[in-house]
Amino acid sequence: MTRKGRHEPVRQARPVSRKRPPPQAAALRPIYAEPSGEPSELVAVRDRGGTGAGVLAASGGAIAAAELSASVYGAIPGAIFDTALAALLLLTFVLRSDRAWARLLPVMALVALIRPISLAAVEPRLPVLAWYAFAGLPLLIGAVLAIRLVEEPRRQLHLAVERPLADLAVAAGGPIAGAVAYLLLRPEPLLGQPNLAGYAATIAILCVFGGLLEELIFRGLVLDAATHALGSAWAAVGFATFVSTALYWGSGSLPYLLLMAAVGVLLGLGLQRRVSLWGVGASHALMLVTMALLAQVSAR
Amino acid sequence: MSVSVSVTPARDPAWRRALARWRRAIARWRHSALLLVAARLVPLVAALGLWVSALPQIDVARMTDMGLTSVLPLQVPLAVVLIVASGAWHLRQRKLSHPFLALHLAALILILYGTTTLVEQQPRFAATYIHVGISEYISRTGMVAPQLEARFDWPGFFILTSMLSQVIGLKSTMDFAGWAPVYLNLLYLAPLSLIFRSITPDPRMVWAGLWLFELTNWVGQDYFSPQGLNYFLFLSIIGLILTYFRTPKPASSRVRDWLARRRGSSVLVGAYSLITPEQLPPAELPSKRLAGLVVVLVVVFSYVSFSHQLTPFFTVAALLGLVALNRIRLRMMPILLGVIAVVWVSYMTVPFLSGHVAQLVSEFGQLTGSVGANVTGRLAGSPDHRFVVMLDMLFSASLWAMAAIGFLVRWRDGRRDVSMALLIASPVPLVAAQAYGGELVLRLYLFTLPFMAILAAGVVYGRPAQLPSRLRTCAVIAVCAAITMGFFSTRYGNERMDAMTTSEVEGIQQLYEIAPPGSLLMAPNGDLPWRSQAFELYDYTTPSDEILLGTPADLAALMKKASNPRAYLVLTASEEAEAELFSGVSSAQWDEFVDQMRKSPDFRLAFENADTKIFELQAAGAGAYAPAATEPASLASDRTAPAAAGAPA
Amino acid sequence: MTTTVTGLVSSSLTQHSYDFLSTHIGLAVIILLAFVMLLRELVPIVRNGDAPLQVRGLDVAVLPLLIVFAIVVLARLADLLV
Repeated sequence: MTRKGRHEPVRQARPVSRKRPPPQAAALRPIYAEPSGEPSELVAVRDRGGTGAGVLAASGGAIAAAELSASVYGAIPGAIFDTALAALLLLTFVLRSDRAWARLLPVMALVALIRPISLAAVEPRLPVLAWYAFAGLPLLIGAVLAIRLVEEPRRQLHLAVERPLADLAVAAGGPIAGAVAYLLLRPEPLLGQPNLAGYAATIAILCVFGGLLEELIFRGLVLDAATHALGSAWAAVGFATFVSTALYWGSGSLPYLLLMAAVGVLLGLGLQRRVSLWGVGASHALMLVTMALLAQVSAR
Repeated sequence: MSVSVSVTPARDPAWRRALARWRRAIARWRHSALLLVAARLVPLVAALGLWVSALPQIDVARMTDMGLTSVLPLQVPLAVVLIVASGAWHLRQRKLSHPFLALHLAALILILYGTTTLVEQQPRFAATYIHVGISEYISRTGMVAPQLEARFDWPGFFILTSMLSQVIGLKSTMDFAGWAPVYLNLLYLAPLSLIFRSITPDPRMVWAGLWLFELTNWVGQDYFSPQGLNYFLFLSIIGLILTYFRTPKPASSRVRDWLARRRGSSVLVGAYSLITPEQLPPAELPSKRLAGLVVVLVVVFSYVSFSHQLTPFFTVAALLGLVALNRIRLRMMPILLGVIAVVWVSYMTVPFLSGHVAQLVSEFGQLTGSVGANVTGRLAGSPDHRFVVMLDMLFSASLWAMAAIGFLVRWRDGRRDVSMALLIASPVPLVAAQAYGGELVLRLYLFTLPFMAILAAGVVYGRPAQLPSRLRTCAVIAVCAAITMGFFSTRYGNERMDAMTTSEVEGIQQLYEIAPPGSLLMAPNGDLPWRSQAFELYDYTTPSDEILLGTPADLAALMKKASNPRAYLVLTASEEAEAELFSGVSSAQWDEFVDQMRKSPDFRLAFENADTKIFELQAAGAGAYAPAATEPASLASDRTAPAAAGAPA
Repeated sequence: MTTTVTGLVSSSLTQHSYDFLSTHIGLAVIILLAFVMLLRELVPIVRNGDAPLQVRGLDVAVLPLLIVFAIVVLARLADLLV
């Protein structure tokens, strides 16, 4: 694949990826093999500035550091650090767009933007439930736009439902995890005056801007980027879990943090076992809905 | 010499004869070329002579409600017509002399915009003095003070002029305020020519567009003001973008294919082709320089955003119009500039917004109210003034009609000036957004004027291959003569109140000597040359011309409410003119009020000269007076929207 | 409960006024938006219009930040109206 080929739209890129690797590239060990056993284009990636593992690790570490510093110095300095990091990542993306790993950077910039957006887009006087929608909407749009950077979204982001029963089984685990999470975190109820419309809104908002959004970002985009960069599925799951868990640092509960880490690992591994992103997202969504309903019921 | 004469013919008499013939021919050519230049300059010199000879005859003190035209000798419009005629005749020549035309244009600007500066004793417009005062405050304190005056929320222009006066070593920005219309109009020419050259390579049409612009710029925003400078920056941004970033082929094949698949595709595709015609290729620059230019444009726009409240939104509207039909490459630019403009307003003008946001929101979308305030609302005041306002409208409508004809003439020839049409149409929705104190239609005229001027020039000069006939040139001269008369009536129609006299300026100087800091300074309206100094030291207030219809006792009660240690009422000739022109207060009513004030026990005449009277509220009657204030007075009462206070009527 | 609304975010939102939040983090986000939009405008110019990947990558940040910008401005305006 030529350098120019990397910048071309997917339609042009696809036939190139099927090309046999040149003799000198075949000497390299395939990092990320296709199901068919055909070596992926990542074989050639090493010739173009590495896989970006260092960049990925550095950006993930910086996001985690910002979250940690937020708990010490306050959320605002941490969020401003995240904003600067996002600027740096996007600038690097523009300047180094000829590198194969450049596509990781917008995704990591989106992750860095989670905290600034959640603080800037939320008007505190609105009901707490609306906070999730206001913080989630811009990120959801960003995540959907980031899908355009993935060459084969259906395959790479596990959007195709291949094992429906496995999806259902994973989703069914969500309420159980939600019950445990509720016991660990004891969150405040989201509705001041519960009614049917309020419950419907809670379920809708938490499903879309909670479960679906987070899984699309962490188990979808970040995991795919990490898989390409790190070359190992296990390492990728570990990295995606590390980043998502870091963003839960602000919950202030270590047991909840550990639970979310465990959930992250399990969902990531589920994806490796051909569970779809929809199943994983449903599991996360049901977990959040269970937590919210339990909080509401116990408040009554 | 004698040697060469004796030797050369002997060697080659034919060669010498040929040389002599050449010498004679060159001498004749030189002689005739000089003569030709001199002959061409005769109309210009004659026009300037006419104009100079007319200046001493202009007595501004005798002006009526018709403004400057009531005292303007015929020589002045004649001089303008002579220059226009000379220029128009030159535009018939196959080979144009650009210096010659530039000289004529400069002379035209001097006559149109410099006459008042030369015949009036002091710089025009009350707002000029306020702007000088704001610059003076910034020079003196090194700070801005949004709590004193809304215009401090957009301080860019005042900071720049303050720095400029310090760098040059002037005592005050007043020193270059008077000539602002002349040098600003000269400045506008450069970006205007960029804009005009983006639609035509024909210099005739460009020159005609420039001339027409100067002849029709009657709105009078080119005085010493933020909007005057920012208009130049607006033109520069549009000019540079049209020059370097226009798309030669705006039609998108993807859109065309999409339309072709719809029902009624032939009509849709035809309409799409009609609104996305090709345009001239952009001027070439290396890509790095283009990128640098984009950065410069953003920086310049940022300055515009912090200098004036309206210009940024007109700029964004214009660019949005161009982007809508893919006339320029910079598709993200209007959004980026819009973000900058909105950020400045929402973050840096909070003191102004907090007082006006409810009004601004309530006016938003009120198209009928806005048009009413901008059109019918202006038709008030004395009969002469109403006539001038009618003339303004007629003048504007005529130019719009001429632009439409020019557009159609060029369209028929296959020249589709869609960019200019978009630039004319795109700011129109702003009228629905805001009434802007009944001034938005004026601003709309100003911000669409360049594009109308070039289209109107296309009526005669729109065909590059064809020289205008004698008949057409005569028609141009006749139309320009009418425009010239209209220009003097519309631009200087309110001159009776816009002109400031030396007596008034001296009277205000006296006011600052008489009134101790912290005093209340009141005037029926804001048309007087005050606030050019000591901006923060007094409470300035201009309730309304209605106080002239009440009694001095009512006025005294009103002034006592303010609880200042001293209170003064200032009456000047310009205020009288404004009350008469806009509020219908007659001269007799004004005189009667002054008489009442003289006789009132509540007031004492503290100072008087030909054009100024200062009345001091008597302390004996001022039971509510507080002890003398030691802190600078709060001017919250006089915080007026710049829309209302900043612009000339 | 989620990565967007953690306990720390909730406490920051309740501790500070929106005016404070919007003049600190809100302004930082808007500056980032302006920076990214400028980059998005410059990239096709420097690369002579051949930069679809870069534009797509930058759009990932531009659109979310534009929504945040709209929310911030409207909230500040509403704050003044109240």
